Amino acid sequence: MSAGLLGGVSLLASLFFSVLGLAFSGLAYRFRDTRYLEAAKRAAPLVFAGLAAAFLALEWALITHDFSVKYVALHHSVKDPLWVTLVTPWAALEGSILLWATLQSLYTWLVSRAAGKQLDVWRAPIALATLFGIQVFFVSVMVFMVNPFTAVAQPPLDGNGPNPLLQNHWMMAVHPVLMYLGFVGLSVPFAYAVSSMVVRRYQSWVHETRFWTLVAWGFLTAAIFAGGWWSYEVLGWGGYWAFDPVENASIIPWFLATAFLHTVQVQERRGLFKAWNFSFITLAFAATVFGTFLTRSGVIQSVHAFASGPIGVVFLGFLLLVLIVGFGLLSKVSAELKDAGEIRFNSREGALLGGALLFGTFAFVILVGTLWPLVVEAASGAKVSVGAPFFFQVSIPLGVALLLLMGAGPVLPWRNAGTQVRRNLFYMGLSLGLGTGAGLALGLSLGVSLALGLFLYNLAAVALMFSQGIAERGTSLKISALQAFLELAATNKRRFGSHVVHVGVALAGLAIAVSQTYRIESEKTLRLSEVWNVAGLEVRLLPLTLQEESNRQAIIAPLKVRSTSRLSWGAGGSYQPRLNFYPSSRTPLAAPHVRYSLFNDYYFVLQEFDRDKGAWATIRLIVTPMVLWLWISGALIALGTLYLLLPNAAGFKKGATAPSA
Amino acid sequence: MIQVTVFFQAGFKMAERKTTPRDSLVSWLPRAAAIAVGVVALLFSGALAQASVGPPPDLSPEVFQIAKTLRCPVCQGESAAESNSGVATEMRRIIAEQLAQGKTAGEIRQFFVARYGDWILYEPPKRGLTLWVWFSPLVGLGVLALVLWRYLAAARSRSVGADNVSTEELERAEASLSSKTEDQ
Amino acid sequence: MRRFWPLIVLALGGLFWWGMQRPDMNALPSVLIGRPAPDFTLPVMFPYRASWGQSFQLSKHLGKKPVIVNIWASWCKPACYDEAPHLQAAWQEYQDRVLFIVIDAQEQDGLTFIRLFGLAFPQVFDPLGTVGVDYGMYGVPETLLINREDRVAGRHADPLDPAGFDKLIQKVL
Repeated sequence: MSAGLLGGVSLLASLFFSVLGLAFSGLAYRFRDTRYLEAAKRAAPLVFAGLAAAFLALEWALITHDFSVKYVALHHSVKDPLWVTLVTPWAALEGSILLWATLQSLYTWLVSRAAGKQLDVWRAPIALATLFGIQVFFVSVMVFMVNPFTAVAQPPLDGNGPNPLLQNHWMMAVHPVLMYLGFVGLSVPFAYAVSSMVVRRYQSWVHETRFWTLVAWGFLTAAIFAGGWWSYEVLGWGGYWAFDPVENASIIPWFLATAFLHTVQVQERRGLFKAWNFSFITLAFAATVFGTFLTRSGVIQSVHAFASGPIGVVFLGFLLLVLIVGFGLLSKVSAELKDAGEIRFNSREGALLGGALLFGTFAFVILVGTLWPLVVEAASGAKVSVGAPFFFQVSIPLGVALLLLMGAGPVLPWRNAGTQVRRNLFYMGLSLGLGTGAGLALGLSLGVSLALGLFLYNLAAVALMFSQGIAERGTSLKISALQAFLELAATNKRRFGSHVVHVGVALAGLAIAVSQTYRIESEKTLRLSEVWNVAGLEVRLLPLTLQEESNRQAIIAPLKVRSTSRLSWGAGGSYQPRLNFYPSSRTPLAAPHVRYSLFNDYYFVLQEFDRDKGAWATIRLIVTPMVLWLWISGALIALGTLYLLLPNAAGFKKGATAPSA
Repeated sequence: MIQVTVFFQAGFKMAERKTTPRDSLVSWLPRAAAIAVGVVALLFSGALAQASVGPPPDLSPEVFQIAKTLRCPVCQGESAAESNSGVATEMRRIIAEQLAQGKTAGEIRQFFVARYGDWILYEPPKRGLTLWVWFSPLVGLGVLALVLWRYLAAARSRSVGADNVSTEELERAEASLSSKTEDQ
Repeated sequence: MRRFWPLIVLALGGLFWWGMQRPDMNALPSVLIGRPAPDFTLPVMFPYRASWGQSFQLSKHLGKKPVIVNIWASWCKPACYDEAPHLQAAWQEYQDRVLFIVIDAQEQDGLTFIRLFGLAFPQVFDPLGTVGVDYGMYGVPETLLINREDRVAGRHADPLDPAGFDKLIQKVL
């Protein structure tokens, strides 16, 4: 049996089981019969098995160079290295939808295991029906529109290989998978929300989906950082974020999911904000579909865009359906969601709401900025661009406000602020002022000084909370400070994990401010063995070399670099920036050579070279401080999220949510 | 005919990154192109010869500052400072040339706007329809704050008389109490 | 919010629907339409020198006949190669009434291209791409139309088919 046939059959089988699962879920809801629910639950692993088989079949076809499969013929070449071959399934439209559907079915299966238990029998049919419905959509799109297993009548001997941008760095193996795991993961809280609105039980779903939302959020965060790193290493302009439409499409659901993770606490604690949580999760999931639509419809130009086709219309329909289902249900039940309670602004819930307000605004601004060229064109026919300079400028005030709230929020107690809190806030304000003042005194720019102040302010917040917790526990239980700290961290995971995440975010804010402000960029055309004195370095160009590799050719400009100043200590040595020429691409791709350090990153790019004689090369040097700290902050956030997700320690009631004191 | 081939070889540098790198890349490794350069210099008038042989001139950071605010017309998601395409290279050259003539950044941007329209500007101009996008943070914050304020006012009015403890919470408290008694 | 959300969803859907059904989503309308055509002087490619001289200055040829300026590059495969025969056919049909001129974004493989398609009208080359910037070029091939009054009358990015050439040229005849 050929890979193409196996894949096609597996797809059909998974479509069949998805429809079956949807039908049984519907019957289970209609007749309130758990036997149907059991049947639906059984369909879930079968759908996953079918899609996993299809995915493996695609991998198999790629590995065995089976060019009778159109996808392989178009996006694979025998010259590709193994890792490129293995990541090719998500290098183009058809395969990426297959990966999406496979991950979706994995989530569906995992959720189905909770059906009848944590997810009670009233809501389970609807939650599963929602997930199976999404599943049916994706598998149908593949079966009827963009089948990855379409055959070619006359298989070529070799293909073009995937888009060179995707084979230029190994991060491509990681970033899209994380992104899909995050995007797809948001379907789970959405399914829970839908089921809660249908069954009219508005409270428990937020406790139950905390885990799933955090999983999706964690993956999304990791994917955004990984994407930044990929940009930094591959695109050769020394930046990590360009506010490209597709980057925006990934950050919008992130902001909405973040808003949800914060407002959920208000509902958990005080039962308020029910309608907002339904809205946020509907919007977050819709935003993931919007991102998919954007990359696959060509409606807005982007670097990441896949070839467009009729599929755009289908995704648009799906996006509207998600919004209509979410908000339609919400407006149907809104009369029952009349919360009662008072919220003071100087309380925890006040800060959480303030945060949600800012996260929502951020998402709104990025959405509007991304869509504005389309709006202007619809209104006046003129084409305009809304690019990175705009987004950076509007992000600054919003970011500063968020960092301020992030420090104060966890310090404030629920309901009302007391004297203890005022003292804490005083210390935090003091560190903010001292940090900013110190920055200014050191001659840093106002923005960076403020970022430094905000970082210290957030650190102070976390330190104050810990030290008070440790002191209280230590004196009351008569244990050492270290033991008290460890016990606190182990028993109050939720609090500890979120502190780690917050420190990570504060660090990211500082790293972004510093790296955006103090970036040095210089370009020079060097003749052979000419010396270039720049940024405390002495750069010498050695003869260019040509390197033949299986899937590409590369021109390498070896540089001998000597550090001539104390500040550039450690940056000396040899660098090999290169231009990679792929047969399928007209333009070569620059592969920068980066030396990471905790202070400055030294980033050399080969821009151009003498094609006649190899006598000169244009080299660009980008020196950016604190970029490494951005990746460290990403790791911190990921670790904090992981800690939040760890199962509760023994001695804690299983299934119960730890109170977030 | 020989002249023609020489001519084409010399122009090679200008070639934007080529389709067939396998042939073109190695051209300077085996062949001595010195003669070609000489012939080319004779063939063309001064400006042209300058352009087609020799390394490109070094550009000041100011050039990149301005180029960063302009879109690379043939690229997607890259500014004219970042892109290596022929057009972007030419744009940087034009910027450098006009800076040398004493033009301001605004005038240089205007030069490109006159040819490409506002589309070339990465930062949307603060006039007309694109002025509104600059207001989007205020609009977003305003609308969300209004909705939030109305929600909070409604929630507070419902809780009046419940002595700051919502009925929902009372229910929850009761439920947890009763469930505890059941547990026992 | 309760009453407005269907409107917002509808507006978004409408916007995207409109966005998708635009015939050419990425087309950039030229701001030069109706304005005087920027002048250029460019070296003529080798085979055409006998009849056109060393260099070609646009302004010397304006005002008599409308001008079609086609900008292409030899690396632009397959688009430019698809268009070339149609360009040649259009020239055969309109050569008496319209002046055709081709600007090569670079001349490297120009001769091969000429040999392949037998382009019989003058070719000049723009080594730096200055003319491309002057005309707001954002990709190749691009076809510009200049009317008898020396003004830019049309611009088409992407390859033209015979009907496309006819439609464009009819604008100024």
